Amino acid sequence: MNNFEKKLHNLKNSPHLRLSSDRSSLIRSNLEKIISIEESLSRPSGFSWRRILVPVSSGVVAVVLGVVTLGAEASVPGDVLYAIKTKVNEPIMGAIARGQEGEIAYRAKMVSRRAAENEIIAVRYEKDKEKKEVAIKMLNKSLENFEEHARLAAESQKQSVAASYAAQVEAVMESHQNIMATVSPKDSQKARAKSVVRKEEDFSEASSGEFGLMSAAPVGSAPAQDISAIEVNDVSAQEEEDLSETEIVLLKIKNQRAEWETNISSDNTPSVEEGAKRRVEYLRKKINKSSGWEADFLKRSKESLDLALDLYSTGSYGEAFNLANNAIKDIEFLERNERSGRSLKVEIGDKEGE
Amino acid sequence: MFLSAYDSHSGEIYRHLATRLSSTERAEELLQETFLRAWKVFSEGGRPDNVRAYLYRIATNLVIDEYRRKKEESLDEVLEQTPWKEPSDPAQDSSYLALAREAKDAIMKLPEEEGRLVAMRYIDDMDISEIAEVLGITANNTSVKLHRAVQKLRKILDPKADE
Repeated sequence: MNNFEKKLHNLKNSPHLRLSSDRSSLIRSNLEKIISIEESLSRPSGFSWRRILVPVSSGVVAVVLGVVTLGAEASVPGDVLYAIKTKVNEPIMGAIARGQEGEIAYRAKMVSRRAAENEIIAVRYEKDKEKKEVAIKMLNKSLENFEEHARLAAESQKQSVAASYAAQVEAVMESHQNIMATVSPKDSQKARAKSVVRKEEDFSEASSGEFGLMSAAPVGSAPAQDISAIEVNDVSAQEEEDLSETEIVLLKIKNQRAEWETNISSDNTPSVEEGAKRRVEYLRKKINKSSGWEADFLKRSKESLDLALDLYSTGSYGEAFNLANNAIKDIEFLERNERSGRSLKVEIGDKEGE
Repeated sequence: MFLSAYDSHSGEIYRHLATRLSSTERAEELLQETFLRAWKVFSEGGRPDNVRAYLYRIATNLVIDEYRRKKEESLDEVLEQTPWKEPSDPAQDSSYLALAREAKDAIMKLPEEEGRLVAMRYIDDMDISEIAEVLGITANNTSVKLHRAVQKLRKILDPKADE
């Protein structure tokens, strides 16, 4: 056997080209599931009196089941049909999902469905605390499942797929936050205020003194912890640089989940006033630490801070919170790009162009 | 009946897919897709004369689609993705696997059609007439194309042989 033949022979007998029995059984079982589902969904072909006359009762049952199944789709936690939605309809969708990409797409879809349920409950059952809690728990569970599958996908050479779906889920969650802020501003503000308080605790400790621009600490007296570390809880800027895009997004989702969990388990939510105060203070700290910013951007950020302070001083806490929050988001957008080595100037231009 | 076709041919179809693709996981996904497509034909009453050749044809088409889809991905990137973990069989030591890996990388460097021919002939052990049937070309044409593909592969695997 010459060298050429030996190489091909080795490849042919390589263990990497052998389908292991457990993987083979798994694929076989997937096929069986899909086939049985598709068979049950496929229409009978050809004409037969037997098919028309005999299963009248089955037809009625099928129609009823169909109506029930469709009805279940609109149900929310606590509804009678909700079990059908989560125990019948969704597992079927899951069974049809093919491969790791299909699975992660399915999990992302579940997050979107759970978020929508939360939004419906916020409108329809405004005062039903129990329903709200169940819905939030379900949403968190779906996020947890998604994170798990995204992580698995990222670990098995599907980083781009994982990152793409993680970004989708992040967008869903952002939009969910906005909707919740509209339909249930009180809950939303409280939730956000609470999370902000938690994130900015270190700043408060570092900056003694009363709240307000006039009490701003000098640039040199920065808190011990890096600002960027506060945005993604428990992860330093350096660590964040080491993380993949997927991991960062997943971490953010996880943090969001943790915040909601805290909201469910505790009624000790801070006031909107407190949240706004912290957020404006945080914006001030960011501006004080600014370096390498475009002059225009710095000017705009300072204007936002001045306006947020005005709003706060006149008791418009919600508006002050939102204004400061948006300014902080812009700043963090720049900081992220700076860390990833991209040109600030270009990114600012792009963002403004949007 | 359909699942018995899976039991009989899944191993060899997988081997073909794993030879042609950069990731074994993708090979598994396309294996499932191959049998799903075949099942659709079966469920509509289709009964191919040669089930094995038919399955190979589906798998081949899926690989072609995959190559088209990944056209923009560089070859290095594709080869980098190929997972070659430690052998589960201790008899197959690292030097054995290194040669196998070399062969796989070389096949991946061939144009899609030539890689397909080499895999069918030398990995799947198909004879010329079977390959011709799967590809829908004449046996003579298959021989000519295979000969060219093997020459190219030799040059990649054993460049000194020609000197």
